[in-house]
Amino acid sequence: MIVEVKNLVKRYDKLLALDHLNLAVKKGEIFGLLGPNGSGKTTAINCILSLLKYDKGSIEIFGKPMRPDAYDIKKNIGIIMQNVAVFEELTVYENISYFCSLYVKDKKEVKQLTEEAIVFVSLQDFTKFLPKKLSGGLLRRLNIACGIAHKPGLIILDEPTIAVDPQSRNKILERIKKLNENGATVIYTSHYMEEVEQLCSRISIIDKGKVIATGTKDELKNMISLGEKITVEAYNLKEEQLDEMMRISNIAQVDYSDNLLEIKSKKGKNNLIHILDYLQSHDINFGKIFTEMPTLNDVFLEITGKELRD
Amino acid sequence: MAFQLYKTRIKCLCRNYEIIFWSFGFPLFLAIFFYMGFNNLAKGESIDTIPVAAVTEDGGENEFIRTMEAVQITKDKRLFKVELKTLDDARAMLQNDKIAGYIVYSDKPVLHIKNMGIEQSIVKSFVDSYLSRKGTINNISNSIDINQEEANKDFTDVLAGYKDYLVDGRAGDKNPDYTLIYFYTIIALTCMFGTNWGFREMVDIQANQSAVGARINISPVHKMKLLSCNLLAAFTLHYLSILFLLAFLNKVLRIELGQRTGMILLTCMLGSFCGIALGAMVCVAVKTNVKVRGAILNVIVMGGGFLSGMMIVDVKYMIAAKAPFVGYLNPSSLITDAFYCLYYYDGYNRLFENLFMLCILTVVFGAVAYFEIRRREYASI
Repeated sequence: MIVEVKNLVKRYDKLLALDHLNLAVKKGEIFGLLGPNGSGKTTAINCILSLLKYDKGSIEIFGKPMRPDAYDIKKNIGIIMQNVAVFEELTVYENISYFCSLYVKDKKEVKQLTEEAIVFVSLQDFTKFLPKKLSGGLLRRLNIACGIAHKPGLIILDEPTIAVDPQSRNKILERIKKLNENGATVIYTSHYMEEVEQLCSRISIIDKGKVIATGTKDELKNMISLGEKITVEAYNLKEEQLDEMMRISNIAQVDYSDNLLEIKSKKGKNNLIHILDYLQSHDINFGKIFTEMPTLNDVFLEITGKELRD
Repeated sequence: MAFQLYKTRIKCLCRNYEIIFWSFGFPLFLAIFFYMGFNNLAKGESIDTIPVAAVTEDGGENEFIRTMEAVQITKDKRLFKVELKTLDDARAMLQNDKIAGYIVYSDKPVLHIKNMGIEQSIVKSFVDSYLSRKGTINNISNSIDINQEEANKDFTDVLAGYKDYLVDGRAGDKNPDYTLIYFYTIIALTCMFGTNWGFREMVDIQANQSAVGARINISPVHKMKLLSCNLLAAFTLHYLSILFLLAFLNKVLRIELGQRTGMILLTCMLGSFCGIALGAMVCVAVKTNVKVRGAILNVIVMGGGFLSGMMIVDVKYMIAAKAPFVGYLNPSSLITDAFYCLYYYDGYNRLFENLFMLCILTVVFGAVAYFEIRRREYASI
């Protein structure tokens, strides 16, 4: 294991921020920590990095206990914070070079790594820019470059795409994948389930400081009773027809509004065929049909009874 | 690596225009402002040679006029410029404000003036004094048998004593000018602007104060090593700002700072240390948000300046008389007083007393900051 967190407890006075949290991150994976705002993701990361004192539990990184003075461990960690952590007075190049020089002593190596990081995040045209001259997306890319320039083995990204436009977000996600392909283990925290689904090989869902489920995205979806969600553009449906549809096998929930029929089915196959059969046999006019598999939000909803973004 | 960190930090601080302005620009503006204000004040209080016309019966000089011309303000500057004129010319000159007044001398001098002012008062005072002393000497010479020529010589000598009251009381090269204190308070204020530098360094190194601080705390560099590099960079620039001000005061505004350059530099260095340490302490010891802490720091710095006599010089004397311990606890006051000692006193006792107290305060401020910052984990971020 690259990171192993056991029974981590962290209190802010009376508030229990982490409640016997357990995490295990394997080498070479992109591990997602998914949870709503205030669920304890950042607190967990700060404890893992020995920035925050914790009340109970143990943290090991690269097989060694993590401490504030564990410089040999810190040397191999890269962190990309939720807030952009760069000096406003230094240019893009100087910022990356400065943070890289905290990890690498050799001046030539720092220069080379800085240039590589700039290319990696595509900031070649902005090397002499001060951070205040950069757009939100470019600033996030600079933030990433400052965290990964020294080529660490473990990269921790704490909600790196907050307030970033979709185009920049995709670029950031692509680069994280590339970092992983280059051999880095990645811990990625987010409350955007789409990002975590798209990026992470394994995911822990966290709520109220506690891990409520861990697994691959398919494993997580298999934990719940819901199957596919079918949306049909249908016209003039009556109440009794909706009731009849509810009685079709494997149907869990039927909703109808604004000419959109939304059916949540239980786990099982051929739910779509049964629905289409019913619509045809009752001469109900219908248009477009969409189906989608359950999302991590559905998983979160079923386990906690609330939406991921509540 | 340490030098690289130091160099980058210098670069970073140099581009913080706000902090640069307060340390390099503001004291200069203040010095110019004070200079303009006090220069006019001094000008208003200075005495120039007073033009006077004299009208005698024979149109020639007499003993009175010679005595008048002998009176000096300073070694090379006379108090009166006496011109012998006819009565009509003298009146015309007075009418045209060419002279402060004219004196008609027949058996005794009679002063004629247009308006009453400082110059007229001085002339009147001189004439009154002359008449009074002449009367005294006449009485004495009438009562005893004395050669009239010798009596006149003695009389001139007696009157010459008049200039003693007017000659500038300068002793050696030291000018007892209380306005210097104002300029010394500006130097002290500049030293205290070190608080901004110390404050900034603490914000940037603590994980619970800034995102950059958090990133730094995660890096494999010992926090104290990095802080040392950063504080050294801050001190370098801050000390430069003080030297810049000293050069401006001394070379451009011609403000006298004394001749003991080494001690002046030492005082500034200790002042800079004290300012940086005070800023660091307030940043880590006051538990509130950054803006409020910054405001508290400004109050401390400006309050210290006020108590050291920056706004009203009498405050400094009042503190020294009624609450001397306040002066000992106020770095601005200690620095101002140290400069005062360097200029006025030949001895070192009072200077060293000030510098010693400055060292004590620096150590206390620094120690509080160190014990607060040495922790490596935070209860909350």
